[in-house]
Amino acid sequence: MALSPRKKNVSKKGVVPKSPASRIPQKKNPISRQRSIKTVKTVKTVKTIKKRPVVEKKAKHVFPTETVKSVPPSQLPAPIPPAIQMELPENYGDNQIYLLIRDPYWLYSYWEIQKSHQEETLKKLGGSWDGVVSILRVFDVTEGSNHPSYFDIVIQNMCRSWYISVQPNHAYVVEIGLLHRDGRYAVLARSNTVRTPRAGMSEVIDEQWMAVDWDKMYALSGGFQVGKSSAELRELMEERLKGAISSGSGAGLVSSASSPVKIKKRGFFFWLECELIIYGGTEPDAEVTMQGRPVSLRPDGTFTLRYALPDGKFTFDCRAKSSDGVEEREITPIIGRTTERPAPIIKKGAKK
Amino acid sequence: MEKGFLSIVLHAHLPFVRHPEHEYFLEETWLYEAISETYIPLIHMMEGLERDRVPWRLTMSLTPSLMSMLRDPLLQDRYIRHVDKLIDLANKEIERTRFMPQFHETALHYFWEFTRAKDTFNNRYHRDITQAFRHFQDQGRLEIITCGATHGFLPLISRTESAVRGQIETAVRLYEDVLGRRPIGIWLPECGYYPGVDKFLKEQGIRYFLTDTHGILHASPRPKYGVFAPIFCPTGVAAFGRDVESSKQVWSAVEGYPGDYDYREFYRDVGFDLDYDYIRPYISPDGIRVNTGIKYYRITGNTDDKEPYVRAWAIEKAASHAANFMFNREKQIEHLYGFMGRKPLIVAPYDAELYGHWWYEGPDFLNFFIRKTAFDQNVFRLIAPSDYFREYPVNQISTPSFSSWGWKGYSETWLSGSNDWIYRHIHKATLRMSELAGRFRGQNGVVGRALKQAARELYLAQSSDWAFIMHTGTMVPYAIKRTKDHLVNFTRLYDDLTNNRLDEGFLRELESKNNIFPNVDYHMF
Repeated sequence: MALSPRKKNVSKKGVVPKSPASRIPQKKNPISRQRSIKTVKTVKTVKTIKKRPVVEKKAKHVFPTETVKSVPPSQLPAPIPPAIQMELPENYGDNQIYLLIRDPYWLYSYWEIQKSHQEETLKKLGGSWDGVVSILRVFDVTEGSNHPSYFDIVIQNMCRSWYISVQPNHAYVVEIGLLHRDGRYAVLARSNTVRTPRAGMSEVIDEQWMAVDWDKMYALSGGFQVGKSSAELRELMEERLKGAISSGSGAGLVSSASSPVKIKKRGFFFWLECELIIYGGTEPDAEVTMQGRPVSLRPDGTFTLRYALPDGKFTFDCRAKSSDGVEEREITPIIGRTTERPAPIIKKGAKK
Repeated sequence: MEKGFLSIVLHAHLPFVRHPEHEYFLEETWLYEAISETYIPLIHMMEGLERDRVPWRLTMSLTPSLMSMLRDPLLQDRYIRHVDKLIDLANKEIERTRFMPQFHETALHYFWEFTRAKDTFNNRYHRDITQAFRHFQDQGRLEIITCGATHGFLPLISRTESAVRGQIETAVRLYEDVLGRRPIGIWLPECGYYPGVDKFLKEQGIRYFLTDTHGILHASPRPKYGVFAPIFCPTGVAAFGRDVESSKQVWSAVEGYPGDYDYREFYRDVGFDLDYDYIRPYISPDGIRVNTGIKYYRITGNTDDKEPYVRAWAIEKAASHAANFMFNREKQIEHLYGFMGRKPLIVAPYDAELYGHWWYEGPDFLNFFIRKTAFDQNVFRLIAPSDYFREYPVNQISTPSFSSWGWKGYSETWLSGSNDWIYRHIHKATLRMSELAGRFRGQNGVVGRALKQAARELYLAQSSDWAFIMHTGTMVPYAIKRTKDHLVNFTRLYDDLTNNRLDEGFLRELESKNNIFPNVDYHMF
């Protein structure tokens, strides 16, 4: 995953093009060009958020799509045979816009418009970009309202997706189009229709199934905690997983595959453990015991034992018996550990 | 006579992670850890209940991607390798801790648990533990439900009907192959429901699905009994809603049982704690410390100075939490019974991996709870969702609300600045798959194989896990790589098919690597 800074790619000119149509499809790499327009210099994370100038206050910032994937042409080993092509297409050659539901208040739309289609459409408005902007026209097509209303969001020409603020339990369809200053409008593509979720209890009641107390039933069912409790463990997991990032190692979805070693509140820590290694050797076919338990020997007759050693005095009763049972030897190391822990020395006047 | 019912539903899922091209692959350990810590302990629990003739009823979803991995010979071999290493390490630990009684007991416990896990896996179920679950389903104790083929979040991948139908139908076919019958219920991936999805369930004869609380509460018309009775979608498929109260007691980080100070601390593992040279053979081969599964400390409190884990105390605590959970359900059900004038059903769904993997004592808790429920009370009875219709065949007709059990309850986890870029590509691949299926009907030979592989790549790209990981912000490069790889593979197969220039070597490589759903049917698209 290339997340390296893209300074190379930033145009210092910072000219906002008048004619978007002249720019969209020609470039192999619209995203990087887009960056130059926005004067964003580096890509730090995938989540880079950029505010875009908007006319409609409903418009929200948009996330540049696929920022992570674009590589400035200068860095591409050219030409790439299809066999090792590991990047996704920037452009599928479609003219389309599509809507997805994020929640009762937000929709997500993405689109793809070809340069030729844009230019043809522009001809309907006179063929010049003077006074023409690209817009998203968001229609509220909720059934029951006779006059479908709409609002417009002005979009930058390089942008390819947008989050749209909407109302719960309404139906929407979105068009991407060109709007002339004089009010004339030409559509480039029209989306699917979606209906946002309800954000509360339904207003529809079935008289066959009347409840005594709707609010109480709702409360008993935990209705006032919706969204809060839904994923508490997931949040906990996310917290834990995020904790893992900061330590520089990854952690698994389910697994702790790698997780923070020690999270210390202060910058400095020190710990120490003691282990004792006892090793030795005898005839490979001898029987060796430690505290009465058999010890396995390597093929050459050597062995190694390892113990966590707490404070105290320990006697290690180790015996070896020859395979013919004639001879037995005993070696008994006696090991003591005491640990002193003087109070930490903190130098005064030292930099924190 | 009882006054109500409780359905515990465990959702067992892992994304399809299988890398034959690497000798060791970190993300594969998700599966191995879940087998040792969750699936096998649950099987042991079920065996114990059977042995002691305890009446019980439990519901579990086994997702098609998980079942596929559990039945894969390569991963089975690798699990044996994994558990052998753990047995070896535990053995060394028994010796190393001989003069540290506070750890020695726990080391013995691990040695016993790993040895037993291996025996169960290898000798008793011949490496295929799906057959253990099948046994308990055939006994009428466990209700196994299905899920989307690769856990695709249906509200966001439904660009075409066939995308959704494919997820459901492929899942049902695999279920039938592995478990010998058709599924009666489904766990919609991430509980992601949108009005209309039930149509595809009905086509497959699935009778019910689970939703989050607000999926039912915000249904229309208003559901008379809240989440305490299922509703029928206009198609006749039933929707069961999650109960918040019972979930919270287990799930919540703050109030929940798993955070108890006597339970095992997840984040102190010998993989990080012990001398590097000693632990080196048991961590990642490249020398990076990872968790091994041997952990010696209890949660202790909000402190870094952890106390040693005392297994007996933890088990004692699991028993008292089980008693508390039962008591609370009794009170809840008695209260609801009075208020509703009908027996309420409490549906308590959890991620299966919570039990054992995250909450080490979770399977013990469940074991105590099931046994106590069977013998120590008569206020409620454990049932599977499908049992409910025997008691109440008539239920309200209402359309559930669009919902999921993700953060904030809708699509945001899988549709945010970190992952929204994937949908244009997934959708395009979906449309192209339909185009291919239409153009190449009934193809055999290499073209047929390429079409099947294209379908597999698309399914794998649809998995909600990748978007989830991108959202959580950890292991992100892997999730992005998986998404891209499958889409790039798909795109290449599409291009090659349309230009009539298939590369059989490339195809063979993909077939051996991404081998999920051997009998996948591309005609579904």
